[in-house]
Amino acid sequence: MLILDYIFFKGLTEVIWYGVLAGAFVAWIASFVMKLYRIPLQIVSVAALILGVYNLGILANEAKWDARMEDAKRQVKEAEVETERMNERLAEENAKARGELDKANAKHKDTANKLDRALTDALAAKNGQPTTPQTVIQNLSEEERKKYENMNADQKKKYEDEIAALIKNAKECPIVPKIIIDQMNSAAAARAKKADNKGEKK
Amino acid sequence: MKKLTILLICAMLAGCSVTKYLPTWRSFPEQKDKTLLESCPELKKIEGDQIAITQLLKAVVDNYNLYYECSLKNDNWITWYNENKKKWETHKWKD
Repeated sequence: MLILDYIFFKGLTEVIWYGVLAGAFVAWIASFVMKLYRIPLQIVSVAALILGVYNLGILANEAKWDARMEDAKRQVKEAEVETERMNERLAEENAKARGELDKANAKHKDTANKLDRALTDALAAKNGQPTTPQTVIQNLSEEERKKYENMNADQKKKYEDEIAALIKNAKECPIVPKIIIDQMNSAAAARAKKADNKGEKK
Repeated sequence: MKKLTILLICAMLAGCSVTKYLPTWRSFPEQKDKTLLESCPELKKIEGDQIAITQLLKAVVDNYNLYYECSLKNDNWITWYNENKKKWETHKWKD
C-alpha cells in the first residue's frame, strides 16, 4: 500500500511540481524569444518557480517528517516492550517474595494455633493430674516435640520455664479482660477512610 | 526583479518552516502483578466474650501477618514506581 501510495500520490505530486519548475524555466526562456509577451511570461515564470519550489520544499519536509515519525513510533514501541518485560520481571519477583512471606506467616500462625490447642487441652484434662510443662509439650505437634527433644539440658529447662509461666498465666488469668479486647478491636477498626475507597471518584 | 527574488527566497524558506509535534503517544505501563491492585484487607477483630491469652496471641499473629502482606504490597509498589520512572527518564528521543 505504501508503494502504491508513493507512486499515485507523492510520486505523482512530485512529478507535477517538477513539471511546474520546468514550465517556469521554459516560460523564462520564451520571454526572451517572444518579446510581445515578455512581461506576462516572466510573471508566469516567477510565479511557477515560487509555486514549484515551495511545494517541492513541502514534499521534502513531509518525507523527512514521515521518516522521523516512523523512527519515533519504533522508539516508543521498543520502550513499551522493554517496560513490559521489566514489569513482568517485577511481578515474578513479587510473587516469589509473597510466597516466602506466606510460608513464614503460615508457620507463625500454625505455632500460635498449636500452642493454643496444646494449652487448652492440657488445662482441660480431667485425669486429676496437675498441668505441667510436660503435659503441654506432649500436646504440641510432632515437629515441636522433636525440636524440644533435640534441645540440650539448659535449653530444655528454659523452654519448660516458659511453658510453666504460660500455664501459670492461663490459670491465674484465664480470661483476657474485655476492656483490653475492646481496645484492640477498636484499634484494628481504626482504618483511614481514604484507604477504603473501592473505586475512583467520579 | 529584486523584489521578486526576495519574495522567492521568503517563499522557499516558508515552505520549510512548518513546525509540527510528534503525534505519537507512549501508553501508561501496565501493572502485571494484579494482587497489587487489590486493597489491603481489614485487620481481624477478636470475637467472643471469653478470650484466653493464647486466643489473643492468635489474633495478634493474624494481624501481624496481614500487616506484612500489606507492607510487601507497598514495597512492591515503591519498587514498581521507581523502576518505571527510571526507565521512563532514560528513554530520550534519539534524532
